[in-house]
Amino acid sequence: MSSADAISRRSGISGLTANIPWLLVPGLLFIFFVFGWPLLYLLRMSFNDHPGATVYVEAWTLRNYVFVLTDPGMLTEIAKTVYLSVVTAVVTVTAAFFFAQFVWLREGSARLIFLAIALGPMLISEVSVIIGWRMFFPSNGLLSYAMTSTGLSGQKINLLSTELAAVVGLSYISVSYCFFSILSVLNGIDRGLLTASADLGASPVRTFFTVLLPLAKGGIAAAFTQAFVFTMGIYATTNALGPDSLWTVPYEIQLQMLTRRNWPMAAALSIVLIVIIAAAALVTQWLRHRKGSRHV
Amino acid sequence: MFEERAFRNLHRAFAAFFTLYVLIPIGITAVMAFSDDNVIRFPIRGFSVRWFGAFLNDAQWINAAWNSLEIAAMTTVMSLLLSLPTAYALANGQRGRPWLQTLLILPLFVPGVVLGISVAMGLGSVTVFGSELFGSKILVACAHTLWALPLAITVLVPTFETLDKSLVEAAGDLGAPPLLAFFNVIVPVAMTGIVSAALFSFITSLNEFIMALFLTTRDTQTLPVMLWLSLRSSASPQIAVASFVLAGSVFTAVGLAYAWYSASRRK
Repeated sequence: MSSADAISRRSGISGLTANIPWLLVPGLLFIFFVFGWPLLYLLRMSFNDHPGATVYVEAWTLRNYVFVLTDPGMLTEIAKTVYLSVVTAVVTVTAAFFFAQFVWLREGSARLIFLAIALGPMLISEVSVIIGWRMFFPSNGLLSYAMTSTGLSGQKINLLSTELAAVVGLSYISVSYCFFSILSVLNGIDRGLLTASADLGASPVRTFFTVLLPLAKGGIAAAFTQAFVFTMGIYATTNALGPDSLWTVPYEIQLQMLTRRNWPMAAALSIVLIVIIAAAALVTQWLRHRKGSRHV
Repeated sequence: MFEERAFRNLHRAFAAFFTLYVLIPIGITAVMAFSDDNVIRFPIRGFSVRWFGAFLNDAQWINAAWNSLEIAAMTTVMSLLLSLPTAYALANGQRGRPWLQTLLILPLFVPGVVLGISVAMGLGSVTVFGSELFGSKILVACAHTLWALPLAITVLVPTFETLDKSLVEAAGDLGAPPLLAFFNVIVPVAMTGIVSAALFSFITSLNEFIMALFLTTRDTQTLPVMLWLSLRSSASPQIAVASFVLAGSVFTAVGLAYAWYSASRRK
């Protein structure tokens, strides 16, 4: 091989390094065509009109947005969606935090087993989660059987179609993600700090609130945002486990899209949902940085 | 002292409760799939595999299961083909990196129902080489890649960051063309990350059903879509069997990846 050849080869590799942005082209093109373009189309669709029999008629109208943001029914749905997501996020983050703290204090094979358990919900499809809980909550389900056969309850109980069942199912979907966000923050904390606090006479409760919680705050905020964002977009679990009256924004979107065949309304609702999610994510991000800077 | 012990026991009780919470839906499905009863109810009166037989003899369920596997395989291939160059570039480039990475990960935070309807509206009427895109498996795989790609990138960027760059330079100095250097030098070192990225992509696609619900027809329906659609109409343990098969495929994929990982570490 001549030296000139070797040099050109070498410039081939360094050429590859220098032209690294080219490697981004396939991924960015894909994101543009399958994500960006459809979202722009959705935005355009939300200004179209739906005069009745046809799916949509091209127009530039704000009617859909005005309806979504002023109709009492729609406003109730938006409020219910946010309420359910906040409740689910609080429950999920609390459960994930205490379990993460439990795993954090374990070593060896016990730790591995608990990690595998925490990973479980991430591997199960939402539809399987629904089916699983639908065999647990109704009056001929496992819960009712366990309660009546142990004598804890005299009669069959039915908890399906309650908000409790909906929250249990919803939190199952994001609990793994929350767990791992919190555990990764806990892993960065020196366990000796807890011992030091106890040695200096602080009660476990005081140590928890004044030492552990402030240190883990970043992970908790990230987990809360995750759980909130995930729950805002779910309708299958809410619909299949919760009460029939519990209509959320994502449920209304699929109803408008599949049943009413009102594409502009489905599009406008989607845009409103995205805006609420983005606003929530930005607010938590902002609160986190503000509080962080005050403490550091 | 007493207070501390009480605190510890409380924590143990909570961990047991949490473990139970995670295992209930999984365990209940595994048990109910083997029920001999005609309806889903407790207590279970007898065990048999007759609902597995019914599942295997139902052409529509089997078709749905194959569709799921096909779409998951397509998603894995697409996600790897796109994430490998992207993650490599992100790990090596500095300019505008946080922005690019955020942009590429953004679809993960958009609800499935919004992605589903926007892809159905925006690309549903497109025709490629005379065949309609709507209802095709490739369109579902594209939509699933929107979630698989960010996951793969998140796994692969740290993998490529820890890579020793002098290896690539050495390969170049020894005369290897860029692509050969990539496959012979980088891929073997980054294999654990690549397998994890493939696994995440595969599982994400296999489990997803909201986007698929908006993008499939009766012929291209996936297993979770069919499960969702038969949720209210079917009261027999067959639905538990189908759910068991779905979860079983995911656990098999994880098991295979884990077996590969421990085998490669032993070498």
